[in-house]
Amino acid sequence: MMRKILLLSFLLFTIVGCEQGLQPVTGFEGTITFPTGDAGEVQFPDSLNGAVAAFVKFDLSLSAETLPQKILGYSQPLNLNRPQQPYFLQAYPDEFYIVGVIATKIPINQILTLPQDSLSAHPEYFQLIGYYRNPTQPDQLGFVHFTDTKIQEGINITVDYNLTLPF
Amino acid sequence: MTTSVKYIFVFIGLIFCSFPATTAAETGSLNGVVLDSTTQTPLPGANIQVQGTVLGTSADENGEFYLNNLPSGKQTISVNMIGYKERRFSIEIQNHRTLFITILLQPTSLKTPQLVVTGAKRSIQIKKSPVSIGTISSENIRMRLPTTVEEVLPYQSGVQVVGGQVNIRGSSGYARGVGSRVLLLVDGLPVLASDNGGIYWDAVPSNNIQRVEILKGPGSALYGSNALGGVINIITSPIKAKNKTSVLAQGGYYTPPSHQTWQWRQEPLFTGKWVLENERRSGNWGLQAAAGQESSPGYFQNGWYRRWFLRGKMEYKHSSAVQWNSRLFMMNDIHGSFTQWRSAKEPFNSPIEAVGDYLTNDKLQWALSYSNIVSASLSHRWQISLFRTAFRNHFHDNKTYSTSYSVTTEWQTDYQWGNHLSTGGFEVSGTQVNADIWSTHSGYDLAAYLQDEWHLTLRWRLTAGIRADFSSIDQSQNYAQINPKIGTNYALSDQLSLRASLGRAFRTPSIAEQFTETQQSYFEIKPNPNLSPETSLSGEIGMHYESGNILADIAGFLTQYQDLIEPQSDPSDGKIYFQNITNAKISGVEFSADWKIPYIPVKQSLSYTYLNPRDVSADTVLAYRHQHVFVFSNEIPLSRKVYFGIDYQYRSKFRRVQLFPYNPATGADKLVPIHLWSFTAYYQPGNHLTLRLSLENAFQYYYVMIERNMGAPRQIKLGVEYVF
Repeated sequence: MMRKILLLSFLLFTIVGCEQGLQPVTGFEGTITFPTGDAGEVQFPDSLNGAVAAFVKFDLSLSAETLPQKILGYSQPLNLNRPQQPYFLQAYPDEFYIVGVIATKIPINQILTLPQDSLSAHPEYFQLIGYYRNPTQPDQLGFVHFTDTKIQEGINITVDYNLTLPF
Repeated sequence: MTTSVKYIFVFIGLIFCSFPATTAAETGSLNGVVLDSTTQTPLPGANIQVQGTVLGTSADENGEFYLNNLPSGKQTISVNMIGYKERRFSIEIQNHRTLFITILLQPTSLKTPQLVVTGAKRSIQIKKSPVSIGTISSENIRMRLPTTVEEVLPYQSGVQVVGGQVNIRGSSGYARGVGSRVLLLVDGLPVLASDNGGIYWDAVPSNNIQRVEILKGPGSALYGSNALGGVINIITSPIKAKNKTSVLAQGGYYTPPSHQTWQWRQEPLFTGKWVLENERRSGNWGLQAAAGQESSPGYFQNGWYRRWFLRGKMEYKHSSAVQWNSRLFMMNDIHGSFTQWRSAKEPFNSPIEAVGDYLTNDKLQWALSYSNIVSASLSHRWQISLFRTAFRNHFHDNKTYSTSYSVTTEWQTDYQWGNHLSTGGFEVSGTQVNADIWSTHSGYDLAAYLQDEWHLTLRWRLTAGIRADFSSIDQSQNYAQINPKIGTNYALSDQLSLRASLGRAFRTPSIAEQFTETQQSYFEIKPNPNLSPETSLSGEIGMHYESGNILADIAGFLTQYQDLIEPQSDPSDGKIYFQNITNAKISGVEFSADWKIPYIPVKQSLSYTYLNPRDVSADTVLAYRHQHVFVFSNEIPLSRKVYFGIDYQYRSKFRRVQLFPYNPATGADKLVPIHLWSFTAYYQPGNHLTLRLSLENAFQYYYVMIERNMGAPRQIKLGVEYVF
C-alpha cells in the first residue's frame, strides 16, 4: 500500500513537474540616442512630456493618423536624463516590424495606465521622434525581422525632433 | 456621532451595568492532572473548560491544573488537546471541598488545533462555531522554515497571498500592501500599520507561534474596521514551566535561474537566520526572551534584506483567577526596493535607475493584558497595546518618510446567565502619523460591542452580536458604523455540525489611501481625502465533520461589497489615486479535509477554493484573485525520528490584473497557472537536536503573480535547532 502511494505520488509530481511555466521571451533590443547640448545634457522639447520606444507590424496602410492605432507594444518610459539608453521590446518572431521612438504630449504614465483604445483615438497625443533605419541605407526605414527564438540585437535609434515620416 | 450609533453605545453600556460584579454562591475547587492514555505521560497545554461557565485553564508542564470558584453541584468538564480526542464528563463539586481527578486523553492521528479564540473572542471549539475558522498548527509552520508567516497562509483553504497582501475569500486584490481588508492580530491585539493600513509580516515572529487562527468572513461585529474580509490571529507560544534555552540556525540557498539570459548575479544566493531564545519560570513569574537576525540577498536584484529583532514576553499569575501578561517586539529592518523588473528579457533585474534603492523600516510593539475570572459566571479582560512603525525611503527619485503610532485599549467582559454566554466590551484607539509622503494626521476610534451566544438546546446554538464604531481623522472626517452579525450552529451528531451566519463589516480608508502624494518610478500618486468607508454584507453556510481520523469542512459563501476602495488612474492627468468605485459580489465554495490512511502512518490533507469575484459596477471580474486554488499535502513519518512531507499547490492564473494586462499581439505580460511542489523533512536524533529541511518550488517553476514581478524560484533551507 505504502509503495503504491509513493509510486502514485511520484508519477503525479513527475507529470505536473514537467510544466515549466514562463520561459525566456523573444523580441529585439538596441540603444536610443538623444541629441545633447554642449554640457552633454539631453535636449528634450518642453512641449513634450516623455518618450517611449514602440513598434508596429509593417503594413502598407501605415500613416501618421493610423500609427497610434497600430502600436503593438511600448517599452518602459525612457529616462530623459540619459543621452544613451538601452531598450527592449518583446515581440513574436517571423514578422516584419517598424520600430520608433514616440514622444507624448500627455503625461508619460498615461501611456501605461490608459487603455489602448482611448490612446489610439488621439493621434495628436503622439509625435514620432525617431525610427530604426536601414543600416545600409540610413535615409530609409529599416525593418526588424527575426526568425529564431533569440533576441535580435542592434536595433539602434537616434532621436530627431524634426523628423519627417517615412511613410 | 450619529444618533443611532449613540443609542448603540448607550445600549451596550446599560447591558454592561446590568452584569453583577460578583456572584455569591457555594463553590468548590478542582485539582487534576491530564495524561496520555497510552504512555501515561503528562500533557502540558491541555485545555480544561467547565461547560456553562466562563471558567477554564490550561495544564502546566506536569499536566496539572487547578480551578477554583466552581459552583457546587454537578458540572460538565471538557478537556481538549491538539492530537487528542476531546473528553467530556461530569463531576460533582462540593462546597469548600477540592476534588482531585486524573484525566486520560486518547491520541488521535490528526494534529489540527480545534479550540480557537478568534471567532467569539473566547475559547470555542471549531465544530461549535457559527462561522468558518481555519487553523495552522505550530508544527505545520516550523516544518516549512518560513521567513515570515505569510508563506504558510496559502496552505489554508480560502486564503490567498498576493504580493504580500493577504486576502480571505477574495476580499482584497493588490494595492502594494496598502489598506488591508484582513485584520491581523497577535494574541488578540491589532498590528496593522496605522499610516498605510497594511500588514508588516516581518513584525510577526515566525518561530514562536503556537497556532494561527483564521476567521473567514466578516469580523467587524467584534473587531471593527479592517476585518472586512476576515481576521488572522497569531497566537504566540505560552511560556513553558521548565527553564529552556534554544538556538536556531537556519540557512537557505536560492537556485540560480535556469536560463542563462536571466542570470543577474554571479555570487551564490545564500540566506541566513539565527534566533537565541530563553524562557524561565520563577514562582508566579514567567519570562521569555529572544534575539535574532536574518538576512538574504534576495532572489532578484534589490530583493535583499537585513533584519534583527528582540522579542520578550512576561507573565505574572497573581492567583489562579488573575493573570497579567506583557509582550514586546522590536525590529530593525533594511531592505532593497523592487517595483517591477527591468524588462521581460531580464526579469530578475531591477530597472537601472532603481538599482541601489532601499528603505529602512523599524517596528515596535508592546502589549499588556490583564485577565480576571471573578466567578464561574463572570470574567474580565483588559488590554492595551502600542504599535509604532517608522520607514524612510532612500530611492533614486523619492526620499520620503513616515512614522506612525497607534495605541489601542480594550475592556472585555464575559458573562454567563442561564443558557446564555454574553461577551461585551469597549475599545478605544488613537493614531498619530508624522510623514511627508501623506503629511501629519491624527485620529481616534471609539467602539462598543456586545455578543450573545444562546444555547437553545444541547445541540443548537444561536449567536447574535453588534458593534458600533465611531472614527475620526483630523477631527474633520468622521465615520459612524454599526455592524450586526447573526449565526447559528447545530450539531447533528458528536461528529457532524451545520452552521450558518450573516454579518455586515466595514473598513475605514487608511491615511495612505486618502493622503498619499508621491512619485515612485514613473507612477505618480495623488491624494483623495473624500474617501468613504467600504462595507460588506456576507453570508455563509457550512458543514464540519471531525472524527479521530478524518476532519472535513465545507462552506459556501456570498459577499456583497459596496464602495470598495481601489487604485484608479485619472484619465485627465494619468495620476493614480484611490477611489470608492466598485460594488462587487464574491461568491464561492471552499472545502478542506485532513485524514489518515488506514493501516499506514500517512496523513494527507486537501483543500480547494473556488471563487467567482465579480466587479458589479464594471461588469467584469475583480483583479488579482485566483478562481481555483487546490492544495494537497502528504505527511509521511518514516520512523519516530524521521518525517517526510510533500506539498502541491495549484493556483489558476488571474483573470484580470490592473496595470499590465496580457498583450496577445506581442506575448508580453503573460500569466500562467501556478504549480508549486515543495518537500519537507524532519529528523530528531535525540531530545535536544532537531534538523529540518525544506525544498520549495522544487521543480523551479517560473511564474508571475504581480505584473512584472517574478515568483520565487527553487529554494532549499536547512534549519538546526538545539534545545537545552
